[in-house]
Amino acid sequence: MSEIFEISIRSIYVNCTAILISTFVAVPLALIVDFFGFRSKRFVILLFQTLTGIPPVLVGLLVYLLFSRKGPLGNLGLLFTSTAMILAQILIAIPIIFSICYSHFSKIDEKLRVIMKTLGATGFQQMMGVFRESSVGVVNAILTAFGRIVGEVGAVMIVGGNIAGRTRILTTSIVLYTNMGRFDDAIMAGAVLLMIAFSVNVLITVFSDSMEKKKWYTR
Amino acid sequence: MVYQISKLQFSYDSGFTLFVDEFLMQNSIVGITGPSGSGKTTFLLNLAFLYTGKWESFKFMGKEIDVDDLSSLRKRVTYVPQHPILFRRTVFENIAYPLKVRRFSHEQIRKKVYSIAENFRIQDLLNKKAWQISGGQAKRVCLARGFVFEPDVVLLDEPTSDLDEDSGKLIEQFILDVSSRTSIVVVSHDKQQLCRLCSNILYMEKGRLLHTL
Amino acid sequence: MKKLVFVLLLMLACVCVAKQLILATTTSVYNTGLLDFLKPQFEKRYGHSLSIVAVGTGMALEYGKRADADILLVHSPEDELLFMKEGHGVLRVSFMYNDFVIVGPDDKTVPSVRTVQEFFDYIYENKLSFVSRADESGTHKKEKQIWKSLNKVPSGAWYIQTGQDMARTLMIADEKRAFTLTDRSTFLALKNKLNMKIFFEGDPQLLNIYSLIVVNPSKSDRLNYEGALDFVRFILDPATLKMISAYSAGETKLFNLLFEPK
Repeated sequence: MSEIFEISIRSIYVNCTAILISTFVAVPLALIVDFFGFRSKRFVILLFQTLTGIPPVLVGLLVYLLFSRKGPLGNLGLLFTSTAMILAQILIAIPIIFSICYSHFSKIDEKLRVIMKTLGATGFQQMMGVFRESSVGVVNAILTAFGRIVGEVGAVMIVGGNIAGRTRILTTSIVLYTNMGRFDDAIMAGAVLLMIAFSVNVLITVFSDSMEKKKWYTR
Repeated sequence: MVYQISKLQFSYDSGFTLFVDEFLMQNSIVGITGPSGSGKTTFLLNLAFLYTGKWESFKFMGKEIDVDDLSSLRKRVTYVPQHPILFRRTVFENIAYPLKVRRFSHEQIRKKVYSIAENFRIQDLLNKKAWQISGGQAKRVCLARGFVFEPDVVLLDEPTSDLDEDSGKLIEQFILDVSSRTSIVVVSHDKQQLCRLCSNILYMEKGRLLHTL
Repeated sequence: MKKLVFVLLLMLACVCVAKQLILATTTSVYNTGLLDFLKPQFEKRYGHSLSIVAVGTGMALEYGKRADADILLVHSPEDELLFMKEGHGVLRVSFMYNDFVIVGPDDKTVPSVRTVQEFFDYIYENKLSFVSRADESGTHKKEKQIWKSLNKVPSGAWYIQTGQDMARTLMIADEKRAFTLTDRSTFLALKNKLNMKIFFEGDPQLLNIYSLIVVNPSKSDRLNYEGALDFVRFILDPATLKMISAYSAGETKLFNLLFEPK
């Protein structure tokens, strides 16, 4: 029981850290790409859209080769650590968050951008305006990415190694328990995984609702 | 002189070209009328520094404009479109937006928003969401948002379309009241309205600005 | 955000300070739970922090070549010898074995045969469904070796290649009512969940020998050579060997020693 608790805590830590960092990278990036017109813009968008379909195992393999002792970043000693798992999940999550956010940002009415400009908003304020107008889309993007990485097993298995007490998370433990014939434990871990995914969904929904209702002024 | 423009030219990709030989504007209300598609809105967007074409001379407040610094010019001019466009926020937040981007304090924002809301009789709507109000109400919210930060110039595109007669009268009165400190350009199909509001009425046709009506 | 960076740095520091010993093991041993059972005793006695990564033998050897693991526990003697010959390892100790068995759907009947080649030949000639791991694991290598000795190349709809680990391959074999080659310990662990039984066993060719390999420390400064040697010392300790030979799942002992501890 304490084993599954410890694994769950690590799962939450890895997934949440990954999603947090991905969000802080991908959302501003999507805003910037949406705001500025530059020559390779279409290429960048296409690239990220393509990367959303990349098999996570391939990401795992790339991160493994990067952190392998014979690899370019081997000296950091990050292979088989939760940091490496977080990095792999970040690489999986960023294209997803970016693409979904961008598609929402680019759908903002051109007339609204004109209004923001004529009311005196600076470039940054216009970006923030676009962000606020599509906040539901951003939440959707984060949830989608979270759903993808929370159940992901291939990449974290390769870069983390599923080491007991270090890099074992719910998904990799399910694989292990299944292989060991401990089906009850596998189902237990699966149930915890579902519960985590469910509570994150509830949390974000409640949060975005309260953001919607929040009034920063009083009568 | 608010605007002093000579030989302004602006073309869309579609081929439509706006050409303004000369446009002079003192502190006053100027009216522009003309058939649909004659380029009135395009001209307003040029005056609002939202579109930039080519010109021989384009002076704003007596100074030649700097195309690299349009954003500081935009802070002094605002454009209110014919069809209301609001943020998906409350009415209060919509009206407060131009003040917020100018970093007014919360106290000042409240004062200004409430005072302008009273002028436009929308004080009861402030807590409503933008999508919960009618088209005519949204139009008044947009107008209030344009005037709340007291810009030097307000460019109004059909300010009283979508409005009932009472509200129309209210807006006209407001325009006349603020015209002493704010320069206003009004685009309207309603020539009688323009006659009530301004002494100087211009006529546009096929992308050209004509001075006689 | 600041906090996050701090936590990350702290973790980095931990990883750098406590030099851990990484053991790459074949899944078939790890899944029996033997290593998790031995781990706390090793850590207590030698003071190293042991991390166990369970992968197929092919991958474990690759980890060794890339210096990602300090010590390997594998079961594919031919590949191990090649690995040693190429200078990737400095010490190889074969210390325990169990055996491969051929399992299949418990309602089938086959004539009794003497050698594994005869059994494979029977499967081949009658096109009985056979599931192969096809993942370069020790088990797969053993299977390929048998086909090779028969001079036959299995192909066709009856030959199912999974590319999965032993447990999933067994479940697929169960589902497809097919035969497969498996190590005894994995089969025993899953036996209650499968409608399968052992059809062939006991051929000396089916011995499954496990060896420890210490990775060549000249490959990387970061290799924990001392720890690896300590692990070999720990395994070869008579007390440990006795624990290994006594380790069992239910009634059945899982591993036999290649030599008697004094």
